[in-house]
Formats: sequence, structure tokens, C-alpha cells
Amino acid sequence: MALRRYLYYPGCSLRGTGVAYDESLRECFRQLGLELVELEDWNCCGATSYMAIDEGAACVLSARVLALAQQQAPGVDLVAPCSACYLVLRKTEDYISRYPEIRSRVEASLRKAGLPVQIGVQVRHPLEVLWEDVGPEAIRKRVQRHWRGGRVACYYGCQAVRPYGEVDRPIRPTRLDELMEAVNVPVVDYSLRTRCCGGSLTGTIHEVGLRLNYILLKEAVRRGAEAIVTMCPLCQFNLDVFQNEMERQTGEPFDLPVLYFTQVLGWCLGAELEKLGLRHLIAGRDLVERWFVKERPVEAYV
Amino acid sequence: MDFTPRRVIALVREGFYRDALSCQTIWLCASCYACAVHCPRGIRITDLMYTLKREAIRRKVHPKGLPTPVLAQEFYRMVQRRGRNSEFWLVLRMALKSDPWALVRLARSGWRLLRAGRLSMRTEQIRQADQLRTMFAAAREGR
Amino acid sequence: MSERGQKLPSDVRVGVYVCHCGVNIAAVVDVRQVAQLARGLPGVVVARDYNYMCSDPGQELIRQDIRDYALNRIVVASCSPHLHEETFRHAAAAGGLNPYLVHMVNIREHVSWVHPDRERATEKACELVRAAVRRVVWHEPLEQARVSIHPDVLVVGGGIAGIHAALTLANAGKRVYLVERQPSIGGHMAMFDKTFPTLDCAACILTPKMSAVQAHPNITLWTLAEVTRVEGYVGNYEVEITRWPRYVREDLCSGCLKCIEACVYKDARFPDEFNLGLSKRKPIYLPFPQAVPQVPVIDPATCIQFKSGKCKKTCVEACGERGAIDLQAVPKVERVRVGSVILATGFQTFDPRRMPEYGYGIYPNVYTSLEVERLVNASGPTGGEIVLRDGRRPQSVGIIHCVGSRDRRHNPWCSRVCCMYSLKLAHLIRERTGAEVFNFYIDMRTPGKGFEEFYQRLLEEGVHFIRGRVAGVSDWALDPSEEGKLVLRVEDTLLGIVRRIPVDMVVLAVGLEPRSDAEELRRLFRVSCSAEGFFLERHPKLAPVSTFAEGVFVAGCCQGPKDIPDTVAQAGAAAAEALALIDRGSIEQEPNTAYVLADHCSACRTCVSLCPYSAISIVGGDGRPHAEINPALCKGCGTCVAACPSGSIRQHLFEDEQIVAEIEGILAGVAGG
Repeated sequence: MALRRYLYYPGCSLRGTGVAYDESLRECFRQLGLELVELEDWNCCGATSYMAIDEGAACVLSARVLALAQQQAPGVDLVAPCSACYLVLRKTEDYISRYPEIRSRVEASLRKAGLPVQIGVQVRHPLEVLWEDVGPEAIRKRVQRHWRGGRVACYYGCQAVRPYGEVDRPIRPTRLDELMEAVNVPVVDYSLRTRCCGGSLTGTIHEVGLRLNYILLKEAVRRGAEAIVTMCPLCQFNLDVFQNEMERQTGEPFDLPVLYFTQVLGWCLGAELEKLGLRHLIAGRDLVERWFVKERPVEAYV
Repeated sequence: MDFTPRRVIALVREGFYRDALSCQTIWLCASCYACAVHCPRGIRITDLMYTLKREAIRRKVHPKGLPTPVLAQEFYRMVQRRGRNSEFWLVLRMALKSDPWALVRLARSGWRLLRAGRLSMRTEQIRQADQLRTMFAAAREGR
Repeated sequence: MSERGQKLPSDVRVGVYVCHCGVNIAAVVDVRQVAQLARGLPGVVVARDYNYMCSDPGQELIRQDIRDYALNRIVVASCSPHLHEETFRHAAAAGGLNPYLVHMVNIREHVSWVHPDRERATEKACELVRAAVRRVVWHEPLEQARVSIHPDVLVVGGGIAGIHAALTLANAGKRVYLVERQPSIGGHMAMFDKTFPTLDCAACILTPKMSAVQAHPNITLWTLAEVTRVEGYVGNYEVEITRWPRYVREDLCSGCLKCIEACVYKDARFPDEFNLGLSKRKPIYLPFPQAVPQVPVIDPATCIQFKSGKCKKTCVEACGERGAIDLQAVPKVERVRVGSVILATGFQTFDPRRMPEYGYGIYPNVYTSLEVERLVNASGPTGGEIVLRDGRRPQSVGIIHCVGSRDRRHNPWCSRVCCMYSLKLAHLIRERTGAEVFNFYIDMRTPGKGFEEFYQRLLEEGVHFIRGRVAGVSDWALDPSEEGKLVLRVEDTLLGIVRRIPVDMVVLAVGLEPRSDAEELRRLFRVSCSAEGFFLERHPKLAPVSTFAEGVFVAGCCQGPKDIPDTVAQAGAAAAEALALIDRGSIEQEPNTAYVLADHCSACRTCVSLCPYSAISIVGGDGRPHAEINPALCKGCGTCVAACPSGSIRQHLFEDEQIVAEIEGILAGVAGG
């Protein structure tokens, strides 16, 4: 397969709580012959909070990211793995083309900074890249390891599939499930696949955020899933970190691994175990050990 | 949620701005865009919530004691200065400014994250923070 | 320049009439000044202003002046020709003048109603009158062509609209060809159990009409047939109809149905189309018990003989000496000549798979309303028992209104019948199962005779009405009471809260939309479609069953969503319009048609493909080929005139001399005289 090149915009989360996503994404792409070149001196996308304060400034932030991409590698797609980053960048492009007032402010700021004003960067989510540029069939052919774990619930979260519907269709998306099936990972029919995890609500109005994640975990368990597969650092964080607390409050035991889809794919494609960021997972450590760790004989689990 | 989104929209349409702007509902919106893709009238409800949040902060009528507007403002200041957000410091500042008792709870999850190698206390900063500041200034003038 | 090398026609005597239209024109335009200017124009013999030119005395003025002053051209400056061109042409004709020597100037809609400044408005009126006088000089006498109307009628579509129109025409003694694509007539109505709001049995009122169609000596019924070609024009359409083989001969079959019994498939195995796949049929089947014609049909896609050629053909054996089964049958083409056409091709229901949030095709207990119509029907897949796919009887049912309708993402229009049929289904479900029934509506729309009263009755019967658009249907259970149920999430806008309502069965009240192949039919008959794809009536109020193709009428849901009473009323109206046309015997045609200067035409065929009415053909093949325009087909749109590269197509009433003279008249005013 020819080596494809992408610009990579990790975003703030993948530097901190979402570091496992960063590590496994790089490794997963490497396995598939996709090269990621990190965007130099990237800044925060503005995210949801910024929009709530100053729409224009939020657009300037993401416009700088887009302009840097245009400057550093024109014509190369920009991969944004964090759903919030992906959406905000996509939305900024949309706003610039839709609202002349925002366009003139953004262009004024780019000109002042000596950055390119004409931006033609394609912003893409890794799921979309894997689906469109590689395809489930090609991925199926490259499977190196036989999955020995249990069934998983694919959780798409919100912002990657909405509102633009380019990563997958916004209502009842299926691509993540199909990718998992392509590498022989059994999935459950998870009807809450796009229901909101609350985003930053776990940090602000904690009880509300906790309740949302409790619903998601509970339904996954009810469906017979032993793990959840995610594609956004905030979803992963919310579902992973508070399981202990939920157990204390409800008396219901939760210990589900909350994996990034790149960890599962990477493992199936034969990635080096240490490079998948598995050590950063909090909940379901026992299962993670059993499912992923190399030494165990494969036969015992198939 | 004190008002349903429909009620918030109805209040705005009929000019009851104060009621609409001071409600809790808009701060519960986590921007998941579910409403936007379901709305049969094609209303971009998430964007409307952003507009109301901005206006509420501008008029200083947002509910007091709610950490969400504090988070938004702290986030804004941090990124304005450094170009990036440092999760640890952001959460710490928000808690100190809104509900210091939350720190007890936060310490527990913080410890778990630290053990898993996911908590960085580094202050993230871009190289050309001055370029970004120039851009913000230019954008304000270019209005 | 004005002469363009040609001589102005001699002895031209123009009369100009400027109308006040009460104050409509006179309040803004100085009509006296306009008349005065006209008097000074070359060729003008008399110019007057008058309060109401369209009144009897006004018309009499024109008639009298034609006699007194020997006028041979008339200009009337008044309102739009849409309103009174006919009036003034008649007046001229009554005075002994060819009506096409009259020209109208619109100084009301184009001047007094749109310009506030009196002086400038008067100036514009003067310029328009000057231009009209220059133009009318070049007018020539024209004759109207008459075309005779063939008395036979084609009705396309055998639902209740087509059936009713066909019977009305046939009862009036006209010959009708009724073409239906399905193996039986009856359409959607045949699928229903009861009709709202009276709850009378749909079959009881429909099947007598279906039998009447079959028995009527004036109706030729072709089922499994489609119109494949249409030529001609009002009064003289030539239509080609392709009849797909049924493989059972209608003329020989007695309807004993022994062939179905004898089929090598002992059990029905294939999804039954009429029951929307809720039951099974054999490869040879009768669509439904009351089907008309009462003749089985063989489906070549599932019949072993057609698939492998190795069937024992027990059906042929069972038919015996009658020999009605004809496995060698081939498509047959019929050609008929008709004077008018009624399109009654109906609708299709919205496919709820386009809204995955409602779970259709994902959860087996989510049904469309049409499927439930079959479930409640005594002749349906369950004999009228309302049971779920697993055989359970539902204890709670949610009916979601407006599925696909009133939704910018899908169909923005209201489908008009869903509120009422949802009420009907709610009543039937409650009556037969005792289930709790929840209606989820955006607005209740009950504008019809007895409709609101029916809604009231349902409220009293204890059916739940929740005002709110359902966000989604899922099998996600939050607590044990929701286990194994379908949960509807909805904002109850009357309570102001978000509710989760678990039910056993979900009914999607799918909306009505144009058939997916309406566009092909539109092209075939050269009618227009509205933006949403329904056939467009000529005028939404005053010509609701006519189309822009003369002699082609519309009836039923192909024109827009409507209920059975409205459909039948519209079908009756379409039949009446067709009858009126037939009884006139012939109609006049506007002479504003295009014509070809054969000597100049190079037969380049540019015009042939452009003509929206297929009125142009190339003739004179062996000698000098050139284009020829059939005046009966030409609608005077002017497309070919503008497109002809050699300028060899011209158009009556839009001759170059007339248009150039008119333009020069306007420009003369701009140039200051």
C-alpha cells in the first residue's frame, strides 16, 4: 500500500487525559501505512467553551490551525481525532463560507499574522480516514491477531457524527461497528451509540454528567457488552474515570474497559503492545490484561 | 433543566429575554447537536444556545453559583494567554472560583488519573502566543 | 429605420382608447393627455378616453367608431390582456374587424399601480401607447384553427379516483380506457379496513364500484398495463399502452382458483405485496379476495417454470381443458386514440427507513400505518386480529404522527390525512385489543365534515393524546418496567416535561408523497409538476383539475395529498371537465403559433429537440428537407423562434416587424420624440 501522508492535530486532550488515544492512533496508522505529521505550533481549537464567550475569537483560534495546515503542507488533509476539535474546525470552515462578517474578521486576523487567507484544508476524523481511505475490506485483510476478548459496545458520541454527517450518518451510525466486525471483534446492538456523555458536565454540574454516563454504562452492560469502544477523548474520560464513583453511589458494580477504537484496531493489526497506551486505562484493568497481554496462549480464549 | 428548549425559544420569540437568558437550561447544553440533526424545522438549536450563553454573560444575568459559565470564562482566559488549555490548571481554577468543596471529589479522580499517567501538571503553551494575540486584536478591529 | 426597408402598410386607420378604470388608472395617469398624444400619432384617426372601456357602452364606442371612421386597427390602453383581451377582440369582431387587429397596452398593472408620480406615470403611459400604435400597424388578420375532440377518454390509474372518473364518463355514454399497473384495480383504498370518520367498511363501498368497472360495456379495463408513449394534442391523443403478461388469460379464466391450490409450492412462501410482506403468497396468486379482475397472476420472479423451466406445471394441469394458463404470454402493445386524459396515479407513502430514529426495519414491532391497515383488515394477514410479529397481542400502542411530513429534512408539507387515519387506527386498536393507545401529534388537524367530532369521540374513549414530536424509538430500558418494550422519548409540550413511554407496538403515521416515477409520467403527458413533485393544476383555485396540457386532467393524490371524499369529488370534476370538452365537439386554438419559412430552413433540427410540445418535425425528406410545425400542438411559447440559427421560424402576433416597431416606439420616447 502506498504511504499516505496526513497532517495531525492532536488537540489539548491528547496531550493530557487522552494520551492513550494519541499513542494508539499513531501506532494504528503506522500499521496501516498511514503517516501522521504533527502540525507545528498548533493551538487550542476553541472547543465548546470558547463558543460560549466569543464566537469571533473561537473562529480565529481554529482559523489559525487551518491556516497553519495550509502553510505547512498545502493540499494535505488534517486529521483531528478529538471529536470537539474535529467539529469546531469543520464548523469554522462552514461559518467562514456562510457568514461574510465572520469571514472578514477571520481574514483580517490571518492577514495581520502573515498566514494564508485562502484555506482549502480538508478536516477529517480518523474514523472517516480509515473508512474512506483504507476501507473495512482492506483492514480485514490485514488482521494479524485473532480477537480473544468479549463483545463490545461501539459508542460514537456526538460531535464527530453531528451535525455535518461526514464521518458517518448522524442518526444510528454504523461505521465503527462495521470496522470492529471487520477485525472480528463482536459488537452488541447499542442503541445509545450517539447519546451524549455530557462532555464537560462531569466537571461542572457533576451529578448531571454522572447520571448521563451511568445510563450509557448500564445499557452497555444490559446489552451484554464487556467493554465500550470510543472515538473521542472526552467520552473515554467520562466513561472510564467515574465508574468507581458510580458504583459507590448506586451499589451496582461497574468495571468495564473503555477503549479507544484505535487500541482495538491496532491490536488486531499486530501493533506493538506497549505502543497502544493500554497502561493509561483506568477501569476494567483485569479484562484489559486478559484480552490484550501477549503471553497468554491464544487458543484459551477463542 | 428548568425550561425545555422549546420554552426557551418561545420566550426569546416573544421577547422575554431576561427569563430566557437567566435560565439554567442553556448551561446544561453540552453541545451534542442531537437537537440540530433532529429538528424538523432545521433550527440550529446548539448555535442558538451558544448565542444565549454569550448574551447571558455579556449582560451578566447567568445563574450565579453555576460552575459552567466560570469554566467557560477561565478556559477563554487561559487560551487567550497561552494558546492552549492545560486541563489540570483549568479544572483547579474553576473549582476554586465556583465550588472549592468539589476539590475533595476531584482529588479522588485526579489521583486515579495521575497513577494512569494521564495527569500532566505542565503548563501548555504555544511558541507564537504573540501571533495569536495579534490575531485576536485584528479580528476585533476587522468587525 | 422604422420602415426596415419595407413600406408601411397603406390606408391604416387606427383608433386608440384610453381607459380610466374608475380611479384605478385615472388617479395616477392623466388619461386625457394620453389620448391627446395618441391623436397626433401617424395613422391614428380617432383617440378617446373613457371611464370603463370594458363596460357595454365602452365596447359600443369601439364598434361604432369602426363603422363611423372605417377603423382597421384598434389599440386599447387599460388593464392586463389576461383580463380583457378577449373582451376587446370580441368588440372589434362585432364591429366587423378581424379580432387580431386589436392590441392592448397595460397602463394599470404596469403603470398606475406601480408608479406614484403622476407626471412620470403619464409619460410612461404615453410611450407605451406610442409603441402600441407603431406595432398594431403591422398586425395582420389571423384565423383561429378548430380541432375536433375525439370522444374517447383515457384514465390512468385504477384507484378510487380513476374508478370514479371512469364510471362517471362511462355512465354518460363515453368510451373509457382504464389503465392500471397492478394486477387488480382498487388502489390504496382496497387495502383499508374502515374509512374515517364514519368507520364504514372500505371494501363494502369500494368493491361494488370495482365490479361495476369490470361489467361496464363502455369501459375497457387493462390491468398490469402502463402507458409507454403519448403523441398528439388535445382532442387527438394517440396513446400506446404496454400490457405486461399475467400468464393467465382473462378471457378464459373462470376464477375458480384451482390453479393456486395445485401449485407445486404447497405452502405460500413469498412475501405478499398486497399485505406489504406481512403474509406469504405462492408464485401464482390472487392479489386479494375481491380483486378485479378475479383472475390469478403468475409472478415470473418466483415461479419455478420461469426460473428453471423444470416445473411439473401442476397449475396448467389443474386448469385442464379451459387452458387459461398461458406460460408463453408476451407483453402486448395496445394503441388507442382518445380526446382527453385523466391522470389518477395516486401517491406513495413515505419510507420511514429514511428516519432511523424511529427504528423501522430495526425493531420488528415498529409498523407503518399502511401495514396496520392490513393488520386490522378482516381479509388481511391475521384475519383482522391485531397481533405483533411474535403473535403477542399488544397492551400498549404508540402512534407517531407526521412521520416524514412537516419536516424540512424530508417532506415539508402536511399530508392532510394522517391525523384522521391515526384517530381511526387508534379507535380500531383500542376497540379490538383494549390496549392503551398513545397518539403523539404536533398539531391535531381535523378540518372536515365530522372530523372534529370524531376526535372528540376518541378523547372520550380514553385514547391518550400527547402533544409533542417523538424524538426517538429505542429498546433501551432504564428500569424493569421498560424491559422488552419499545420506548418512545418525547417532550410532552402540554406538561412541559420530557417523557419516556414504553409500548409494545409503534405505528408510524407515514405521510403521502408523489410516486417516485411521477416525473416520467409528467414528461409523457407534458404536464407540469410542483416543486415537491405532485402534478400541477392549471390554477390552484379556479382550474383545480386542469393542467397546463390541454385535455389532460388530474384527480386524486397525484395532484396533492387528500382524503377519499376529496379524491372522489376531484375525480367527478375531472370527468365533468372531460365531458364538457367532448360535448363541445371541437375547440378553437389561439393563432399565435410559430411557422417555418421553408425556403430558409436548413433542417438543422435545433428546434426539434427544443420544442417542449414535440410540435416540430422534419418533412420533405427526399426533396428539400425542412422543419414543419404542427399548429395544433404549438402553444406559442416562442422557444424555436428564438433558437433558429437562420431566423427562418417566425410567429404570428410576434412578427419581427411588430416587435421591432414596438421597440422603436419606446425608444422614440426616450430619444425625446
